[in-house]
Amino acid sequence: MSLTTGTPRVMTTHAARAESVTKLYGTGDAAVAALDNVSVGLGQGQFTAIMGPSGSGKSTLLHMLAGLDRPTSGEVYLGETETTGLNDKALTLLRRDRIGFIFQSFNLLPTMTAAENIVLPMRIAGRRPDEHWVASIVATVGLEDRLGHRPAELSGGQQQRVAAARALASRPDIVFADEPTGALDSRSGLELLRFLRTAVSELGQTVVMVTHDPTAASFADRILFLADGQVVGERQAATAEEILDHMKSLGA
Amino acid sequence: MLTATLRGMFAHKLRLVLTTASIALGVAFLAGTLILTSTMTLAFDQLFGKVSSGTDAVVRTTAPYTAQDGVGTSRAPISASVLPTVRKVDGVRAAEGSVSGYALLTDNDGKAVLTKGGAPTMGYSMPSDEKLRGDVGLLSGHAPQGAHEVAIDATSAEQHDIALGSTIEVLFRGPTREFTVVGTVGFGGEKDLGGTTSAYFDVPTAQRVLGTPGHFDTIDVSAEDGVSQTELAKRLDAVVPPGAEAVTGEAVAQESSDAIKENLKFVSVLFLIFAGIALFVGSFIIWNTFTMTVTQRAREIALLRAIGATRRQVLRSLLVEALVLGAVASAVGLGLGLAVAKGLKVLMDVVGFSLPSTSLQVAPSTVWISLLVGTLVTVVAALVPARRATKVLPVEALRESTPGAEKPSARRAVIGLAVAGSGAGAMLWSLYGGADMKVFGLGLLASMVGVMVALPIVVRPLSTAIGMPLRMRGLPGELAEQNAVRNPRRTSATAAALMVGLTLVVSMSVFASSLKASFGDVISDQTNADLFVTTASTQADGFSPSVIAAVKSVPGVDQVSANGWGEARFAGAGSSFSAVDPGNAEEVMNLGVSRAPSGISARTGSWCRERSRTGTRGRSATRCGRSSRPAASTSSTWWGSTPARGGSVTTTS
Repeated sequence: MSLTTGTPRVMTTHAARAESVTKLYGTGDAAVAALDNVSVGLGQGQFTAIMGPSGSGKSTLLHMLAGLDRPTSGEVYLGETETTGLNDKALTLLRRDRIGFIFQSFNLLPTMTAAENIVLPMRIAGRRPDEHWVASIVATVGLEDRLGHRPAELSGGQQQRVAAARALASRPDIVFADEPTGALDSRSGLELLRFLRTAVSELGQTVVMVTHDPTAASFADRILFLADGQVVGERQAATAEEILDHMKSLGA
Repeated sequence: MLTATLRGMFAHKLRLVLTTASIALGVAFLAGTLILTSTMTLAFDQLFGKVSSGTDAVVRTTAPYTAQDGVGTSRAPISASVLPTVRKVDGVRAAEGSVSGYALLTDNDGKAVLTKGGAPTMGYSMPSDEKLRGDVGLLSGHAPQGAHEVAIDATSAEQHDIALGSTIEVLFRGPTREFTVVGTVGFGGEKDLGGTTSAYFDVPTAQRVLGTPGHFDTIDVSAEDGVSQTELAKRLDAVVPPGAEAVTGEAVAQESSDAIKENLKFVSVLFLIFAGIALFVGSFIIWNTFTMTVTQRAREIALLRAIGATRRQVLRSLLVEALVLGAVASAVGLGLGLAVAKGLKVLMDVVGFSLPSTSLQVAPSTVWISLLVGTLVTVVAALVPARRATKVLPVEALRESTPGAEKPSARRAVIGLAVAGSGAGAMLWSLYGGADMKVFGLGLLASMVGVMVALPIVVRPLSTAIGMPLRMRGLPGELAEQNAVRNPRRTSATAAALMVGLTLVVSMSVFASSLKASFGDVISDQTNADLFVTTASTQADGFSPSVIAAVKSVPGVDQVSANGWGEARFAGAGSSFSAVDPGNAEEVMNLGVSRAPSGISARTGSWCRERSRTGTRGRSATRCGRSSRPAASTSSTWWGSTPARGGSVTTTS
C-alpha cells in the first residue's frame, strides 16, 4: 500500500484516472472485491502497463477506466469527464469517440474486410475517416497489402495489427489494450508492441495495456503492479528481467 | 452498421434460407389465396359477362322474397304473353324468351357425359338473334331448329367423339328424349363454360324440355343503337305487367356472379385461416432463429457495443436484418403464391368446386398485402430477441467463455401460468358458459402463449423424466439430457415451435373427422334408408317419376320414398322446405312429425336449416331456386357423397 502512487490529486495531464474505485462481484457474504479502493492516474502521452497475476483485478481496472463496466463505488474520469455519472448512451458515445480498444482476441467482425474493420468505429459514428491518417497508420502496422482480406484470411498477428490500427484510426484520447499479445507468438507479439511503442513515441498517443508478460511490459514508460485488487507497486521503464525480478519480490 | 448487418446475414446462408423458407411459406399461402380469390372474381365476372354480353336488358318476374343467404332467389317463370308487349317498346331491337335448366348429355353409347367435380350440366334455349347469344357462338354446324335438334358444347363433343349428325339421348327432369346433334358451341374462344356441359335447343323445344310451355325464365332484350341499358330497362319497366321487372343486362350478370362468389367465400376464408396459421408458425421460427442469432453473435454484438455502437444501433441493425429478411421472404412467397394458387385451383377441382378457367390474376393489393404482412410478421417476431441483444454488455467481448444461460425466474412461471390459466378459463367459459366463440379463440391463444412462457420452468423436471431411459444407455444419453437442460429457454423455444405445429395438425384432423362424423350422424339419425339414389350432377333438379318405378322394380327393394326440397318463405323469413312422400316417409326417415294435417308433414328446425347451410356450398346452390318450381313432384334431397344437393330416392330393403 505504501507504494500506491495514484494519490487523489487533480492532474490535468492525466488522460484517465480512477478515484477510490471498488468493484464487488456477487452479493452478501459471497461478495468478492475485484478492486479494493484503487486510485490511479494515467499520464497523457505515456505508455502504461498494468501488471499482475491472474485474479489481481488488472482487467477489471481496465474495464472501469475504459467505461466498459461500472464500479461499485468510486469515480472514474476520462480527461475531465466523470464517466461514472454518464448514462449508457453517453458512455457508449464516449467510448466511440474518445477511446480505442485492443482486446486479447475477437477484435474484428468476421464478415468485414480488414479495411472495413479499421474504420468501423467511425462508420458507426457516421463520420468520414481521415484518409491520410488512416493510411499512415496502416503503413506503420504494415498492412497495406492485406486490407481487402477478411479476418479468417489473416494470421493472428495480422489480426491484432488490424485491431491496433482500428484503435488508433479515430485518433482517440486513449487506447486501452487488454492482453493484446496474449494470443500471439512471440515474434508477432513483438511487432505489435513495437507498433504501440511507436504510436506513443512518434504519434503522441496514450496507451494503457494490461499484461502479465514482463517482455510486453518492458515496452512501457510506466508499469503498475496489481495484486488482490490493490495497486502494490510501480516502476518507470525497465527491462524484462528487472520487471520479472520485481514481480518475484512482490510474490515473495 | 447496415453493411455489418447484411454481411452478417450472408455469412449464414443456410440459416438465412431456412428462415426465409418459413416466412415465404406463410406468405405463399396468403398470396395464393388472394390470387385465387381475384382470379375467381374475374373468372365469374367474365363467365357471366360473356353469356349475357349481347343482352342489354332482362325482363323477369319479381322475386317474392330474397332467399336467406341471398343466393338462389326463386323466381316464377314469366308468361310468354309478355313478349309481344316487350317487342313493341321503343328502342327494342330484338327480344326473345330464354329458358334454361337441367340437361344431362349422353354419349354415343348412351353413357352420361359427366363433369369434373359435379359442375352443372345445363340446357339452354338458343336465341335466333345472334346478338342475343352474346359470346355463345356456333363453332360448327348450325343452330338447332325444331323438336329434334341440339347443339352441344365443343368440349363434350370432342371428348366423347360426338360427331355432327349423330343421335344422342339427353336426360331431363321429365322424360329422356333423343336429339340429333347439329352444331357445336363455343364461348368467346373457350370450348366450354367453365367446366360445365351445355345443350342448346330452339326456344319452343327448350320450353318443353327444360321449363313450362307458355312461359320463359326471362325475356332477354337487345337495344337499338344509341339506347343505353339503363334507358332501355327504364322504358321496359314502365310497360311490363305487375309482378315483373326489367333490369339491365349488366346488373343480371353481376347478380349471378356475386351469388356464386358469395357461395365460394368460405373457400377463401378457409385458405386465409391456413395462411394465418402458417404465418403464426413462421413467426415462431423467426423468433427462434433470431434468439439463436443473438446468442451466437453475443460476442460480435458486445464488440460493437464496446467500440461505440449504441443500444439503439444494435436494435436497429437486427430489425433491419428482420426487415430485409421479411421483405425478401415475402417476395419469394409471393412468387410461390402463384404456384399455390394453381395448386389450390386443382385441389378445388378435385373436391368438386371447379372454377371457370382464366389466367391467374395478381392484383396490386395482393402484392402489397403479401409483402406488408410477411415483412411485418418477421419484424414483430424479431422484436423480442432484438431487444435482448441490446442487453448484451460490452464487457462480454472480453470474456473468453460465452455467458451461461440465465435461470428461468419464478416471475416467469407465475405470469405464464396465470396467462395459461385465464386462457383455459376463457375456453371453458365459451364452451359451457355461453360466451362468444371469439372468446374461445382468444382463450386458446392465451393458453398457448402462457404455456410457452412457463415452459422453461418445466424443462428441467421434464427432461429428467424423459431422460430416465436415455441415461440407462450410457454416456450419450446422459449428455443428451444435460444438453436439453443446459439452456431451458432454448429447449422450450424449440419445443414450443413443435407444439404449435402439432396443435395445428391435431386440430385440423379433429376438425375433419368431426365434420365427417356429424355429416354421417345427420344421415344415420334422420333416415332408416339403406341406399340413396342421387343424380350424377349437382345441378340436377331431380329424377323423372319413372325412376321411382324403375327402382321399385329392382329385386330386394322394399320401400322407395321420393323426396324433394326447395326454397320458401315461412313466417316471413326465407327458409327451405322438404317434400316427402306421405305414404312411406316415416318408414325411411326418422321424422319427428308433430302434426300432420291433410297430408302435410311439418317439421321445423334443424333438418331444413341443416340442409340449406350445407347446400350453400358449391355452385349448385345458386340454382336452389330452380327446385322450387311448380313441378316439385319429383325428388331431390341434399345428401349424397358430396355436400351437394341432388335428387335422391331413399330405399329400404
